[in-house]
Amino acid sequence: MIARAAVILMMVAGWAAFLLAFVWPTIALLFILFAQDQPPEGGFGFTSRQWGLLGRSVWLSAVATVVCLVVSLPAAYVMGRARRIVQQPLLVAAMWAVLLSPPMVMAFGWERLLPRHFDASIRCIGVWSLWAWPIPALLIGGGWSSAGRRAYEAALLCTSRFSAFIHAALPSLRRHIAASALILFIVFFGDYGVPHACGLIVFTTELLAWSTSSSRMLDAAWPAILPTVVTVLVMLILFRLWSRLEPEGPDDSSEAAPPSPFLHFVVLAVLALSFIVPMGVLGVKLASSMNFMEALQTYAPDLVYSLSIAILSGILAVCAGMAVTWVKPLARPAAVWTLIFGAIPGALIGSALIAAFNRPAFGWLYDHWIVLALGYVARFGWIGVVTAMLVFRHRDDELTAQARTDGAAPMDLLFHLYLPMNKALLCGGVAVIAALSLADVATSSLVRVPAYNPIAHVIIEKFHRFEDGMLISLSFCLVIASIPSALLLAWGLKRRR
Amino acid sequence: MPAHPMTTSRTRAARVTPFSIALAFAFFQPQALTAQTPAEKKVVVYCSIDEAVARQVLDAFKTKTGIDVSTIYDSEAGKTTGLVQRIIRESQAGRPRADVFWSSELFNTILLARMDLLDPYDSPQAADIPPRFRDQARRWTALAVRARVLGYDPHATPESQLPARWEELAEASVAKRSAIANPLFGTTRGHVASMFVLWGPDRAKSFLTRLRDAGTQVVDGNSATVRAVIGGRAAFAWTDTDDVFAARGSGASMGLHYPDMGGGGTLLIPCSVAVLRGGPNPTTAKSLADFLVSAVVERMLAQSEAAFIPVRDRLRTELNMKWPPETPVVFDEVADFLDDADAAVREILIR
Repeated sequence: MIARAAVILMMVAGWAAFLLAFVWPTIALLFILFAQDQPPEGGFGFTSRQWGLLGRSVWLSAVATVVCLVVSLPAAYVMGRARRIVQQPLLVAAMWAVLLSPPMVMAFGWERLLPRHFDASIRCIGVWSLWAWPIPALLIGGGWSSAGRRAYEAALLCTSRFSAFIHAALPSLRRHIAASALILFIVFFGDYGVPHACGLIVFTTELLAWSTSSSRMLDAAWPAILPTVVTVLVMLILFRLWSRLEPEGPDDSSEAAPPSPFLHFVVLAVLALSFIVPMGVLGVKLASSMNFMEALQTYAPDLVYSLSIAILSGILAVCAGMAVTWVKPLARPAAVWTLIFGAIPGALIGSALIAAFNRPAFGWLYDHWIVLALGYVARFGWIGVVTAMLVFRHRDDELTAQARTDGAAPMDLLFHLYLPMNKALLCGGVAVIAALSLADVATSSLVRVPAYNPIAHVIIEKFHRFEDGMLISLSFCLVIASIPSALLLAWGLKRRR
Repeated sequence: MPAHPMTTSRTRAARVTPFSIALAFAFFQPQALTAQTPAEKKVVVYCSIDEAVARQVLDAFKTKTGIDVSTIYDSEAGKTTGLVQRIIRESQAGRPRADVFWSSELFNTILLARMDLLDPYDSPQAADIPPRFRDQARRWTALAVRARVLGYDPHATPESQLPARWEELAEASVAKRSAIANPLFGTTRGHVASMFVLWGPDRAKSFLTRLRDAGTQVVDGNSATVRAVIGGRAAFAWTDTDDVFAARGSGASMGLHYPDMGGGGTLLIPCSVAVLRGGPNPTTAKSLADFLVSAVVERMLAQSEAAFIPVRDRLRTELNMKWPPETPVVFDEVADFLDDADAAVREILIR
């Protein structure tokens, strides 16, 4: 009974989030766009500056995606060597802690560490890669924990572990790698904070400025076409690649030898380079206990709100993904819908939410922090869908058929089979969305509420006011706040494996 | 042989799942949080003053009056312009959400007044503010000015190399070593519009063309121009006084120079306070407006790290602050030219 109620609650919340974050904003945005009878401010065309910014955004994001995937491989390998992802709870916790740290702060740290004239583009790529590597590591490692490993074990008979991982394991994880590349590219392509901190103007920077400086929706929507087309193209390529791949085999929970100490060392080195080096140097140089206490006293409500809403957004987005993917006839169009929102720049999503909720009928929502959660769901909900697609990829396998034969209803399957089997993946999805929501600036620049100031905006403000001590202290507050969550997640996963 | 997941997980069915906890939080928390302060003890302010400074002022107001202040600050991307567009959108939707607009500049506030989005309010606390800083119809009050200045690193650039006039910034040797914030936003927008007023459109456009041709760096904010100087990527930063003071506060070597815009001084930009028409809390809005235009707050702003310069003579005397060299410009005229300046910037500088 409780299982049924929990599933129903999850589905209702998921559909509510889907309707409010995707369906209604789309209708409202289209209605307003078609109701406008004047062309956009710059006319129906694109300036050479816009093309140039687009080119810069594409190459920066593409290079960072490749670098980030490479950086993530050692951690994915170590997690993959464990029988299940949950056997690496500390690694998962550490990676989540890295993800929850604002990347802009890392950019600031690297700015202090590197020479004054160090190239801003390389710094931007480096910061992105060293911040986001846990995303592919979690996805590829999580996929490994639930994907077949027979090919790997067989390859071990004639080659080294590393070679077996590269030549046998990774090909079996192409879907997860493709999903990771997709997520990384879109995250980097739509990011405002890191390029801003590196002193780079990219397409997102100017699009956000155009969106916030005009009260006409078309002025934001028209230039948003360019990045949207690029993202849709990347999505199409990756999903085409995905659909051509053969389905994975059934889970294999056979025991494997633990990874070598050397690989643990490599992962620790990546962790140190990505997190301890920039944050540690900043901490030593700039933070003081007085700053820290002042930051806590001043911004505790903003911190608590930001963390809570980011986590809630992650949960709602995964629920929405599960809900829309679960209903087979609706799954494909609904998934496409969320993916299109994933392709839309954050600034346009913010504009769509304003179009949807800046109405007397939605007064209860427009000024409320829940609208920010909906904004994050709209922007990152597609990650929830990708997560759900990975969860339901065995919907027609033998195990499910056996369970059905045993009399399991669809809800039982969901609650007793798919959710328990994919805890790590689901938690990973929530963590990724929460982390991205915490760092989001684009959507939340438009969807602001009086209740609190999103911590990403506070940090940007501190960055611009040269309040380094406060900036570091706030970042440490976020990191410290993330540690109990990260440890709880790791402990829970380990306990329930 | 692994256990069948159905058998292992059925025993957990009665447990409360993290999902259900989270969903319960999602559904019940909003109601709990919205049942808060009664309307007469609330006020909503849209604020583009720096958050650290504004927070102190608004906290002081809350302590003094017991009125709860909800604030939306400007974002780095849209700055004051973003808040202004929000006000316009909310008004167009027939549902203004803010009571008070507290802006770090004046020109956008004048535009809001022209759109009839501001309520006249003759605050008794503003009686000692010079007339040119008050709207004749009392729709806005201006105070606490910042100056448009050139930031530079004294260790890298000797004073003898500093341009005496803003127009010299367009000379190729200087322009290519300069950084300017995107002139469609913030105080740089008003700065460029004031060039249109003082120099005329043709001369101003020629100036923008020369900036572009010489390769002046366009960055996304005044503080980014200062960072460009600190990082050695530029020698001159078009910025405001408060950005220079903030950089100095962090230990950076940053000099401040007042180039002449015409008439011997530079552009001074005051902050502004206005009561928004149709806001949800009109009574508390006036209380907050009274507080924000008072000498108490102007003193707080002057004593903050941003070091705003008071428009009240007696405060400047009291705080031993000097009025910077000022170019004579009428604020309303600058507001007249904002659109023309935007169009020229789009056509010439930000193509």
